[in-house]
This record gives sequence, structure tokens and C-alpha cells, in this order.
Amino acid sequence: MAILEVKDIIKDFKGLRALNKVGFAIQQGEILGLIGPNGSGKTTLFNIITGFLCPTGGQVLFKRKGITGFKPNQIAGLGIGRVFQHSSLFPNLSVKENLVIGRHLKTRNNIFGSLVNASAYRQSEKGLEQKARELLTFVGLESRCDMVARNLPYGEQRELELAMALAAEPELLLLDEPATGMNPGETRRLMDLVKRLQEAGIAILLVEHNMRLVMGICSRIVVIDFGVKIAEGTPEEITSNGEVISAYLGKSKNDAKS
Amino acid sequence: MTESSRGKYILYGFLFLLAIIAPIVLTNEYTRHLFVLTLIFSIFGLSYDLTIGGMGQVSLGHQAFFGLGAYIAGLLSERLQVPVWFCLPAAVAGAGILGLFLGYVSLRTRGAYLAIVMLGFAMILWMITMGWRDVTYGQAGVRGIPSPSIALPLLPEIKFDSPLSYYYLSLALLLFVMYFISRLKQSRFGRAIAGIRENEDRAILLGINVFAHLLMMFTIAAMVAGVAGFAYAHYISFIDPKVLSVYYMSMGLIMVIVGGSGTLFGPIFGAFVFFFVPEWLRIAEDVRLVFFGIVLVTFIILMPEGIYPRLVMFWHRLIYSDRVGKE
Repeated sequence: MAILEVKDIIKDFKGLRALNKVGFAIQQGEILGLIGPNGSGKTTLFNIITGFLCPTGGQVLFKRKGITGFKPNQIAGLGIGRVFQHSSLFPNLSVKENLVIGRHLKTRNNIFGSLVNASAYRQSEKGLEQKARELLTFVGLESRCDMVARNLPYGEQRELELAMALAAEPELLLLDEPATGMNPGETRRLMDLVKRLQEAGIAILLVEHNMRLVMGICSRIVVIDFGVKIAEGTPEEITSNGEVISAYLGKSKNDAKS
Repeated sequence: MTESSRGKYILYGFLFLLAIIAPIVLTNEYTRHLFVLTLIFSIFGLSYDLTIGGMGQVSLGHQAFFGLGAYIAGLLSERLQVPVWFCLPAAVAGAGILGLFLGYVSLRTRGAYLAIVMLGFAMILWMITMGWRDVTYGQAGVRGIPSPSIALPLLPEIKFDSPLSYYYLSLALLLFVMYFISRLKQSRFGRAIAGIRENEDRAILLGINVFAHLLMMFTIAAMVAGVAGFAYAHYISFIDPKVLSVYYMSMGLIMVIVGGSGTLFGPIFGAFVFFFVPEWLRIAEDVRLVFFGIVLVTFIILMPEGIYPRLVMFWHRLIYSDRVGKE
């Protein structure tokens, strides 16, 4: 069953058509790669799926339910998580606090419970503590629990972001160039992490320029160029697709002549 | 209990005892009066800091909530002879409703826009109290606001009509507000607010309804300012439109910035500086306020993050100096 369906999305920015009838579907538990040259509309598409932008035409279905026009926090509440292109966490708070806030949607305590230190409040605090530790172990940051987030090395900041997105227990995770600025070792760890997320049953939509990463973990790949979908298929099909190659490398002289 | 948290509780206990004993040892009525003002405006400073340090937004109209609380308390007890203790929830509710309304309008903006929109609203409220003489007495102000008192069965009636007795009343209010704020920060709601302050886009993606949370926090800050307004009106027993002027806004800003924003004790240190340093500068006679300005600027240059965070840092260095040295 498709967990997310993107149907004929059109997005116009003051006369510029950034996306033209782009459509694809992500199956449950699948890693779908979304690639394309810079400026092809990948981030615009992410912003439409997560509700930051409203499409000019077309619709987005999450678990067969239309979510076009929903507010970003409502979409997050349905179970779509997202990791930004650039580092985006709560820089002045501790690693643990970052995760506890990430757990917002799954926490059920109110101000009054906290005021009187009710047993329900204490229980939820204990649960938060435990969940934070679980997540830190999952991404391999156990020893960083009390560090201030901005003092983490770059690669670990990205891992913390991933853990924050996971704290809300999403069914679909959107990763916007997660390996940007990572060294080969950090990229390998990330690849391994994403694979383990898939094993845990989370569907992933991955935008990435690092082709080794994309080819290594995606089961299918969608290619867009100038806002138009030009190819969709397995990594092998994509690497041998002429249109994709010309979009990335330009047309050769011989092609142009013939 | 960890070593550092035990140290913290010992420090809190010590400060509490100090606060209890201070007005007994210091018998000068004027000093006691300054202490009462320090406590009352600590509440105001803490409420202001809920928007500044809590939400990361500076509103230049926070005096509106203080002033409205003071006017509601003053007018209810003076005009309608409402018992003083009913004036407290009325002042809090009134300030809260105003906060809800002004927040609903102004929280659609951020930063400088929010600050100016709020300043405008506070000015409107100031003008209304000046002009609506039939109700507010206009510039003449509300006189003869009664002091609160507690009449328990079998005990003599306790009247809070002297600086000494009012000191303990405002101390109790301040401690309750401090407890409330510290718990608030530990709740799901308070953490969501911290997330919004740190990174709004990230908070949205974690499913936090930013506008609803900010509006709620703004309303809570207004309600706490209403507590300060109530305490002030029944202490001074006279209020005029000045309580809605920018004087109290700048006072709150100075207390928060000099004391240290985003901390529970910062605004209290700030209030202490605000009321006591000008007194120590009396040797300078006429130019003492000029000297006070110089002192404030010096504080901001030397401790831009505020007095309280600096003290904490100094304290930590003192305790852990040997360990840091080894690293």
C-alpha cells in the first residue's frame, strides 16, 4: 500500500512554474530517492508535502487521505517527520532537552499536573527520560546526553536531528540532503542508520546529491529536472537512463547533431 | 540527589531564611518600603521575562497588564467595596483577558513589529484611563485603596498595612509565582515554548502549534503582571495613569536585562539593583540618577548576559576550579 501519494503537483512562483505535474508514490517501508540538479524543485516539493507551501494544483495523499492545505504542525501530527537541509535543532538546549521537545506529540501531560507534581506527570517524565536514552542509543550518541546541542560536531548534530524527528514516531520520514557536509565516515554511519530505520518499518523519502548514498540504499529513484519528472525506476534503470545522464552532464555534441 | 543539586537546595534554603530575617533586622521603615517594592516588582520583572527570556520576544507594552491589574484591583475595592481578596483573582483574570486579546492580534508579528504594536496598545489603554474620568478619576487617580487583611477565627485580625507586614504578603506572592514559573518550564507546554524560541521552524515540524502556544504564554505572562499590579495598588493605596506609562515598561526591561533574562532569580537581582543602587548614590545628590544611568550602562558592558548568570558562573568556577585545572 502506498503510504504517500503525490499526484500531479503544480507550483507556480509568480509566473515561474517550479513544479509541473510531478507525481509518484512511496510504498510502506520503502526508501525512495528523489534526485535532480540544483534548482529542479526538490525542496519545493518537500515544502509542499510538509505543508509549508500550498500547491497551485494537484494533491498530496497520506494514507489515502488528502492533506493538501493542512498546516505544517497538523501534518507532523499525522506522522510525517522531516529533517532539514541545513542543521536545524535547538542550539542552546541540551541534547536530552532537544529530544524531549521532539517528543511533544507523544507526551500527554498538562501544566496543572506539572504544578502539583502529580504522579501522572512524574510517570511521563520517567517515560521521556527512557525514550530519550533509547533514541540516543539508536543513533549512537549515548555519551552526549547532557551536552549543549550547538557544541556537538557537525555529523553528530545531524544525527541528533534525525533522533529528534524519530522521537515523534513518524511513519514517513523526509530527509533533505542529510549527508551534506559529512565526511565519508559520517556518511557511512548515516547510510547504516537510514537502513535500520527502514527495517523498523519507516518509509523514507530521501533527497541527496551523494550518488553513492542514493544508489546504495534506495529501492527506487525519482528524477526531476526543471520541475518535471523525467524518470522513475530502480537505481540500475536510472544510471542507464539517457535522459537522466543528459540532465546531469548536458547533451554531448554528437547527440546534438543527430 | 547529586552533589550539585544538594548544594543548590542548601543555597535556596539560605536565601529563604535571609528573605525572612531581612526586614526584622533592618528596622528602618524606608528600607523596608524599598524591600516591599523590590518584591512586588520582582513579580512584574518575572512576568516580563516570560515573554523576553521565555518566548524570546520583547514586547514594549507589558506595563498595560500591570496597570490594568492595578486599576481593576483599585477601582473594585474603592468604588464597589469589593473585598480585597476578590480583587486578586479579578485583577489576574482582567489582565489575562487583555493579554489574550492583545496577544491574538500582535503575535501575528515578531521582533520589532510585535514590540511596537504592543507599545501602541499600552498607550491606548493609558489614554483611556486619562480620559474616562467617570470611572477612572482620570489624572487625579484612585485614592484610598484599602489594605488587605486576614481575619481567621480565634486569631487576631492580621492587617497588611505596614511595610513589615506587607513584606511578608508580597514575599508569599513572589514565592508562589517563582514556584509556578519553575514548574511551568518543566512542563510539556514550557518545553514547547523553549523550542519555539530556539527554532520556530523546527518546532512546527515536531507538531507544535506555535501560535496557540505563544498566545497561551503571553496570556500567562499578562496574568502574572496582574498579580504585581494588584500587590502594588493595595500597598501604595493610590494609583494614577502613570502605572500604564512607559516608566514601568523601562523599569521592567532594566530589571530583566541587568538581572539576567531567562532565569528565575535574574529579575529579582535586577529589581534589587533598581531600588537600592539609587539610594546608595544619594551622596551624589541631584545628579544621582545620572550616576544610576552610568551604573546601569557599566553593568551591561561588563555583564551583558546579566548579574545572575555571571554569579552562577563565578560560583561554578569557585567549586570546580580544581577539576577544571586538571582537564
